[in-house]
Formats: sequence, C-alpha cells, structure tokens
Amino acid sequence: MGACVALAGAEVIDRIAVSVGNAVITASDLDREIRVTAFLNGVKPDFSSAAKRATADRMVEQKLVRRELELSRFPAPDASAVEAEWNEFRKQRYPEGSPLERALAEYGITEQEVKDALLWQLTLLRFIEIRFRPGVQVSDSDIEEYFEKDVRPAAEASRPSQSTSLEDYRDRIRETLTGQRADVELDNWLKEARQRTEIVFHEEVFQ
Amino acid sequence: MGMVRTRLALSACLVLVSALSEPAALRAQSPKYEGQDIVNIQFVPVEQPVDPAELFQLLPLKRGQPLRMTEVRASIERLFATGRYTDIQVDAEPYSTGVIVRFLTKNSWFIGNVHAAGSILDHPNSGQLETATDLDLGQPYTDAKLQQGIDNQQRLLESNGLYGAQIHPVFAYDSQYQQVHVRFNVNSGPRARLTAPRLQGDLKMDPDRIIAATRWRRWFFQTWKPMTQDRVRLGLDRIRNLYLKENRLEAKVSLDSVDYDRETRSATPVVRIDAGPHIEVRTIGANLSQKTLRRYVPVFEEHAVDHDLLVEGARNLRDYFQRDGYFESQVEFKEQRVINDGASIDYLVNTGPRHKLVSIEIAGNRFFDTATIRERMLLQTASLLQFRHGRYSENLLTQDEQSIRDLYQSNGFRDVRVTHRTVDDYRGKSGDIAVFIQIEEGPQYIVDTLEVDGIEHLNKADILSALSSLDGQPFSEFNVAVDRDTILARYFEEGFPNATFEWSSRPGAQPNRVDLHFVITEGERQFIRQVLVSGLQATRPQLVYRNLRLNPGDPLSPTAITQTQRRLYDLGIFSRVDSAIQDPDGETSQKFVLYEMDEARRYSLAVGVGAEFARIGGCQTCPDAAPAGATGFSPRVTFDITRSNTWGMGHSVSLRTRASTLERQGLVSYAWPRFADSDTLNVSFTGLYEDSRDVNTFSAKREEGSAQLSQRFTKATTLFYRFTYRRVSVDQSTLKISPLLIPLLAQPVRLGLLSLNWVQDRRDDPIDPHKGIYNTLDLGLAEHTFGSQRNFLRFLARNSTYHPLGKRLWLARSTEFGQIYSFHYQAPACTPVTSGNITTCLPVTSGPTPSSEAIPLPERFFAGGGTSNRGFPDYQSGPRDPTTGFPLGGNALLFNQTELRFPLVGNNIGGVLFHDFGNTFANVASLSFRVKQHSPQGCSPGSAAQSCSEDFNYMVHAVGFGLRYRTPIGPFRVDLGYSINPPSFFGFKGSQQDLINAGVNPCAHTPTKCVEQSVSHFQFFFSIGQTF
Repeated sequence: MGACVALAGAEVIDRIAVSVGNAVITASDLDREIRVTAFLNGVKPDFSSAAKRATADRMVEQKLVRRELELSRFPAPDASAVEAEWNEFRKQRYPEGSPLERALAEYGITEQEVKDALLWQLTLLRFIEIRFRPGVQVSDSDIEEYFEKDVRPAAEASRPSQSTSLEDYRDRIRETLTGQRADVELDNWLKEARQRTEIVFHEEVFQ
Repeated sequence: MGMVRTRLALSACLVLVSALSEPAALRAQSPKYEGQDIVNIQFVPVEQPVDPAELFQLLPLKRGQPLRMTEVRASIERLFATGRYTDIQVDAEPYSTGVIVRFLTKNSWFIGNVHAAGSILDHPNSGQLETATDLDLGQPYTDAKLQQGIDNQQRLLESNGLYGAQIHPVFAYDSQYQQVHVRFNVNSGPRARLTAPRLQGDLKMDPDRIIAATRWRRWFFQTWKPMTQDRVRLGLDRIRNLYLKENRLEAKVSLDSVDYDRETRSATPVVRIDAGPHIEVRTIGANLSQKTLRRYVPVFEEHAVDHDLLVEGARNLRDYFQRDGYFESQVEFKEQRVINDGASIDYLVNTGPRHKLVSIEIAGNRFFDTATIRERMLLQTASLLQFRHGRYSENLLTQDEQSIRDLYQSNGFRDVRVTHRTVDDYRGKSGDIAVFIQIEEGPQYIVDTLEVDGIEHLNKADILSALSSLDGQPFSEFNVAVDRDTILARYFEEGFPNATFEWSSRPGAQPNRVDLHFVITEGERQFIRQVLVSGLQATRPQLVYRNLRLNPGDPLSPTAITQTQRRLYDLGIFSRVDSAIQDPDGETSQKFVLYEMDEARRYSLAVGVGAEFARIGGCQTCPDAAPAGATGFSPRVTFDITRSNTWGMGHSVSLRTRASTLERQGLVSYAWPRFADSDTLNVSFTGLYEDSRDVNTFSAKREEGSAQLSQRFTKATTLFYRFTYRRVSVDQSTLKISPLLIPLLAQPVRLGLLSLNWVQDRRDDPIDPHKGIYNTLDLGLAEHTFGSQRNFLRFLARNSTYHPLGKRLWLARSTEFGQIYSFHYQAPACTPVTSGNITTCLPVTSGPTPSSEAIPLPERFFAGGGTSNRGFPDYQSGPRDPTTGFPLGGNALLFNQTELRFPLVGNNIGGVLFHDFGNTFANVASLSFRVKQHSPQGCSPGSAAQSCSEDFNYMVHAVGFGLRYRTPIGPFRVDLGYSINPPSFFGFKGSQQDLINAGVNPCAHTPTKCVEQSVSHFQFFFSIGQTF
C-alpha cells in the first residue's frame, strides 16, 4: 500500500492483518489473541512470523464461524455463563494471594479479554452441538468395529486377566465417534467456507 | 474436544492448563496513545470513496474524545465493512496536548463493463465468452477472479476446438466510481477438426458403428467436421441412443478427454463406454406398446436403471391406467438378475375392472359454495369429449382433500376435517363410481386484535391497509405469511433490504379469537448514491437518463431498479441490459446502481415466404371470373428492413414490402416512441404504396402519407389521433363492374382524412382470450379543409366480449357496426370511360346523385369472410353490380358473431361452434334484419342493368364449426361455415378472358354467360389467431 506508509513523526497503531470477506482481523486482534492464548496456556507469547501466521489461520476460521452464527441467528450464550469457568481457572492458576492482576498486566491483556476468549469457547462448543452433532450417525456396527479395532486391544493389553465387554464401553465409544465425526463435519464445512470467502493476508503484518 | 474444535478455540483447554511459569514483562498493546485526546481525524488520500457525511458518522472514533484502541479497531472494521477499501492502516501522531489520528486507505475496485471482442469465431460467440468469465457487474474485483475468468474462457474455447486461442485482458479504470472495465481481446485462432474417437471400455458393439453414430464425419466426403462443444455433446448423445436402441439401458458414455495434435490440428475425443447388459422392459398383465412404455418408464430417458426410476415408472404406469378408467390398477415391478449379458424388468400390472367416475358429491360446506370447491379439484366426472372415464385416482383424491383443507384453513377454519367415501357400482350400474366428500368446517378463527410494532420510517396506516390479518378478519398462518410478504416487500421497495418480520399469537378474550402481534425490525435504510451507466456506443446518454426511474437520494428499491431495466429493454435498442448494485454486501447506506448495456444490431432484415389458400374473392390464378368468389391460391413474398436507434435517439425507420398475386405493398415508417418524454405517447410517420387486388371487383392503388400520435390513457385504453392524406384509384383495366358506375366509383380521388381511433382492451389474453372485453371505435372525417376531394364521415365500432361458462366452456361474441356518410358531393357532368381502344364520354345519370355513390370504391366497406361473416368468401358481402354480379361494397355494415369455444383433445386442440349473421348495405337506411332475400326483378340476359333490381339488404346467417390448434404465436384456425341463406344474384359466369372479351356491357354481348347464381353455402377458412 503506497499510501499506507506512516508519515514522518507518526506511528502505526493498528492495521488490517487479514480480511475475511467483509470482516477484518487487525494487527491488534492478532496481538491480543497471541497474548490471551499464551496467558491461558501459561507460556510466553510467541510473536514470530510463523506463530502469527498460525494464529491468523485460527482466527480466520473463528471469523467464518462467527459470520455463520450471525447469519443463522444462533443464540449466543450469556456473558455470565463464563463466570464459573473463569472462577475455576482462577482457583487453579492463581490461588489466593497470587497476583492475577499483575500477570494480566504483564501479558498486556485485561480480564475482560480473557473472559471473552472463554465465552467464545462456549459459543463454539454450542454451535458444534447444534449444527453438526445432530446430523452424525453412529451405527452399532461402527461401535463394534471401533471396539474391536481400538478399545479391546488396548483394554486387554492393560488388563490381560480381565475379559472386556462391548457393553461396558458402548456409550463412551458412541460419544467418542460422535465427537470425531462432528469434528470432521466442522472441518469440511470450514474448508467449503474458506473456498466461498475471499480471504486476503496482508503480508506486511506477518514479517 | 476434537482436533478442529481445539484448533478453533484456544490452544488448550482450561482443564489442561499447566502450572504457569511467570512470563517476563511483555510489551502491552500500543498503550502509548491510549486515553489521549483526539485532536483531529484525517484521511489519506483526502478523497475518500465513502460519502463524507457518512464517513464520519461511521467512525466510532470522534474528535475531542480520548483515543481507545478498541475504537480504533472498531473503526477499521466499520470502514472495511463498507466494501470500499482493500487496506486500512491507522497512524497516530502526537500534536499539542493530544494526538492526530490518520487513516491511510487503499480503495477497492468493482467489476464494471465486461466485453469480449477481437477475432472471435462463432461457437463460442462473444456473449458466451463474456458469460464464461463469471465477472458479475458490481461485484468486487480481484486478480484471482480475473484469472479464473480467463481460465473459464480458455476452457470454453478449447471445448469448441479452439486450442490456439489467445486472450488478453485490457483494463480501463474509473477511479471516481472505483470501477474497472475489462475488455478481453480474444483471437480464437483456427478450429481443430475432430478425428476418429478413441473408444475405451466395454463396448459390446462394432466400433465403426459407434463412430458412424457420432456423425462427426461427413457422410459424403468422408472428411471430419470441425469441433464444437455442441457437436461433441450431440455425438455422445447419439452413442447413448444407439445403446438405448439395443436395450442397453445402463450404458454409460462419457468423454474422458480430448487429445489435441498441434501438428495436424486435429482433436481426438477419448470416449469411455460401459455398455452394460441388455435389459428388456416388459409389462405382464396388460398390453402396452413399447412407445408407451418408453414414455412412462424413465429408465429410457435417463439412461440409467435404479430403484427410484423403476418406482417412478410404476407410478407413472399406474396413473396412466387410472386415467384410462382402471381406477383400481396396481403396478409393481420385478428385476431379474443379469444372466449371459441379459436382464429384464417386468412391470406386473393388475388393472382391475374399468370404471367411470359419474358423480362427485360434496356435503357439509357452508362457507364456500360447491362450485368454488369444485374448481380447485383435480377429480373430474366423465364427459364425452375430454375424460371419457372421468379423472380419478387415490392420489388425486388425496390431493383434492388437501386442497379443500388448505382452502378452509387459509380462511380461518383451523379445525376443518375433510373425509371421503367412494361408492362402486353407483346406482346399480356396474363400473360407475361416485365420490362423496364430507366437510366438517368447524369454527372459524378470527383475529381479535392485531398489534404491529417496529414501523418507524414508513407510513404505518398504509402498510396496515394492505394486510389480510386485520381485526375481525379470519386468522390463518397462510394469511400471516401473505402479510409477512406484503410488509417485507414494502420495506424492500423502500430501501430496507435487511428488514425482518416476526410474529406471535395468543388466544383472544373470546373463544375462537386470536390476538396477533407482528414485530418488524427495519434495519438500516439504503439510498441511491448515483446511477452509473456503461456500454453506450451510438446511443445518446440523455435517452438513457430520461428513462431512469431512479435518482440519487432515492431509497434503494429493487423494484425501481428492475422497472428501469425493463424500460431500457422496451426501448428496443439494447440486446442486453444488466443492472446491479455495486458491492451489495458492503455495509454502507449509500449505494451506486449500475446499468450495463449492449446495443442491439442497428439493422435487422426479415424475408418471408407464404401463401393464402381459401375461398378468396378472386385472384390472377383463379380460373373463373367468379363474382361469387372462388377457391384461390395466392403466394406471397415479404421483405422487411429496419434501422433501429436512428441518431442514437431510440427512433426507428423501417421499410416493409410485400408482393403477392393479390397485392403489392411498400411501407416506409418512422417511429418515435415515448414522444415528449412521455411513456404514454408515441408518434409515427408512414408512407404507403399499395396495389391491392384482394377484392375481385377491381384492383385499387393507394398512395398514402400519414402521421399518427397514440396516447395510452390506461393499461387497457389507447387513443390514436391520425391524419392521412392519400390518393386512391382503381385500375380500370381490372374493373369488372358496369362501366356506367365507373364515373362515380372509380375515379382517382385525393383524400385528406382526420381520424380518431379508440381502443379498449380488457381481454385476459389478446391472442386467445377467454374472458374480458374488447371495444374499438373509429371515427374519420374527410373534408375539403384537409385537402380532400370528397367529403364524408366514417364511423366503425366494434364490441367483443368473452364469458367463461364453467371451467371448460367459453362464449365469445362480437358485434360490428359501421357507416359512411358523404356530404357536399357534386357529381361530374361527364366522365371519360375507356373500353379497349375506345374512349367515350358517358353522361352522369340525371337527378340528384345519391351521396352514397360519392364514396370511391376503395373507401367503401368490403366485408364478409373469416373475420366478419363466415357465410361469405372474403370481401363478398353486400350489394353487387347488377350487370356482372361483382361486389360493389357498401356504406354501412352490421355483423354479429357468436362462438362457443371448448377444449377438444388434450390441452392444445380445441373446437368452436359458431353462428354469424350480418351483411354490408348500400347505406344505413337499407339496413334490414330480414332473413329472406327478395327475388330479383327485371334481370335477364341482355337486359339493361338499370332495369335489374336485386335485393342484398337482408341478414345472411351462417353456422359452422372450427378447430383450433394452440401454437406459440396463437391458435391455428380452420373454420367450415354453412350459409343458411346465401345471396342469389344475376351476373356473369365465365372465365376472366370471357369477361374481357365481352366488353363494356358483357351481358348484352354474351347473354348466355349472364345467369342467376348464388354464393356457395359452404365456405372454409385457414388462419392464425381466433376469429375475434
């Protein structure tokens, strides 16, 4: 962008990193996502080109899902729904007396931004539940095949003396297969959505 | 949580969070300017694509307020969402006590005119190449889309054998409106020739036979044809049909690839064939021809055999038998396994006994009368012509029950119940069926109160007045859906594309009452920023702008956009008019509306050949002089040329010529549509030369110039104001009437005629009307003031009405009355008359000249025939020359036609029974409704014409029947008429040469040729279009 060169004395404070259809991911969005993810994972934020690109890819898919949520008028979970998750996280990671506020400041993020990230997780889970899981079919033969191929060998290897019954595992296998297939459905949907949407990465941001 | 969910969400789940090692202090997100006051907001470049007023309104950042990074981000998102930018960067610069925020932007481009030109061979033509690009008007332009477009064009060209084609896009940028116009310079190059296809797979047939079936090689010269997409496709279809004929119903034929050899410029199609087994389809239990089987079992048409198609075939066959009266027929199928390359499909048919649906009884209906219900039903009782066994099946009965249920439910009867009972051997007659339908209407639910919220920008009263679910009206979900469509359509028309509608209901205060609540969310309103027009070459832009029904600032109405598009098409000068909203998904309230046109070719030629064959009045090919008309044949050639869009103003000039043994005609016209920028006014100027022989009494020459202004008052009513100046003359060498009448009737006359024509057309279909009314009134005044040598007033009125009589019967009637009244006529004292080489001066009959004789022959009413009274040949009604018997025309006419129209066979062939009566009269005083003709007085061979008195002043009645075959240009018509009381007259009977040889008084010279004769009782007519 010829015109988009910071003028003398001026400093770039934000810009488009990726455009996804009519929506954008800004450089500051990218920066925040890296910081919040690092904070939740308890690692140091990685601002390398590769990490930025990987984060941007993930955010593109988030944008596609968000767009679908808006178009289908998907009922978003209430903001208060994340309070329990937040409290759990805080209890585990920052027991009483630990400096949560200082940690947030050091990561350069706010408590609200972390809560927003948690809320997004909840929204996504609900979206998959409603959009993809109902369409997944798991037959008895699928369950039997999975049991014979994966579960029984592993169970017998770990407890050779005990017999392994399909009925003990049926519900868990059904749940696992349903989850896997819903993920595949989501993955396919994302691929199609990517093809349908004009996605442009602004390389200057990733250097 | 699976792989994708994890990737989409965060890198790890909360439950897996490990012990955290405290990170080193990290750089926060641009906190440097956070909270500083915004001193100014600037844009680079200064000229921005978003309207300035809207631009600052869009931005969450405001001058004088503290800078927040969240608002910077939101500003970028908001600006980008307008679709007008491809890149946005935000800078901040300290200034005084605050900060200057600067948006550096890069504009996006949108697709404008897309054109393909250059050296393009047809197949594909330039239009197909343009369509192949998929570059849609107004959509965002990207390099990827362009490349995709070029690839698509390349594929299209190669599929047409154009392997050496070159495509170069040339761009024209319109930075003001962010449009990029793309012109594809295409050089098609030479076309490849097909060669013998390479056949792969399991052919089970002689390859030469397959290759011959493709018809890719010329049968006579044995050379290969040039490759086109259509030719290849047709060749493959022919191979499929070849296998189909061999009953290989599962044969798969596909084009794997085409190998192109650049050296020989030949293309070798690689065709993959899987012949599959012979499959015989049979019916067991009923005889059915292979033709019928192929029509109803879709495996033949689909070239595939699967369970669904076989089931559909069984259903079709069952319906076929049920339509034929076997109402209880059952059809099943059985597939045999493939053995020795053969298999079979047996349709097992159990027709059961044949029935006839003789009665449909409906009971319990109070709200709707039986006729209203019956007209929605598919079941039909047996009738002689259309459904000899009636129309009945369980499936149709179920559909009818549902239709009745829908009818009631849409009118508030939510609890309606419809049941049926079928009685076989009705009233003891074997095979007769009666259907009894019982309706339990239940209570009607009524809207108690309707509450509508959310209408803020539009007139609520206007919207409410158009709704169905108002207080006191029946409540139904159907009505609510109609209201929803009505409301949203109104909003869309007014520029609210994102308006939404929701509704809810609750029981009202009283039983069977409902309180309704509509909630409308209007969304953001969109307006027209500007209308952009492209693609004009010769057309003046002003012509287009005058026809736009959109102005900047108007609400963005899809209806108005489409109306304008239609208006531009209606100009008749564009072959294509595309309309679009630039970047429709962009979130901005101001939109550009785009029109892109392709101008039509300016010259159009039409050459036609045809013929008339009927009992026409007379012609050069008719063997007899035949004053009563004879069967004639008249070949015809037409040549028309039109130049449209003259001077780029949408006017047109055309020359139409016609030559036949009956007439020669040349017509030059200049048409000026939408005169004075008015949709309702059209002006035309016409010059006409006509030499017509369609009346066998004479040949008339007409040289005419006219100017006409038409004014459309309503959709149905139009007025034509016309001034005509013409010279009419009779070719005396063709005149077959008594020379004594020549001075009065056949002199060349100049006429200036001012006329007014009123047309009211309320027919449902002008080509084949079934209901409505059609009225015309024609008033004309010829007067010396207008340069006319004769003074007369002409009046002709017609009234036609069309009435449905039940579902399949229509009554059509038409009455026509006309009169010509002459005034201020002075007969000449002496008029020269030429007979052979001798010219004599004949005195005019003493005494006052009847004003009726002042009207020259070509201006008189000549009627009778296919459109007035089918008891006459064309133009043979009314008074006749007492010497020769040829028609003289009249100055008054009255005709009435009545037709009963009905379907005869299927939907395309219909019949009519008709009764016509009427005649042409010497004048209005002679008009009589008498049905019997008086015998002639004093008429005998050799007698003087003046002593012969004949009666033509009576009503001739004709009855008959006709057939109508529906075609896209109107019904093809054949009518056979029988005249109950055709006129008898005294006249010449012989060949044309006999009449010429007989001289000026033929009956005196050849008395044996002058006998009493009459118009034939039988007449027939062929033509296109209904009679009236």
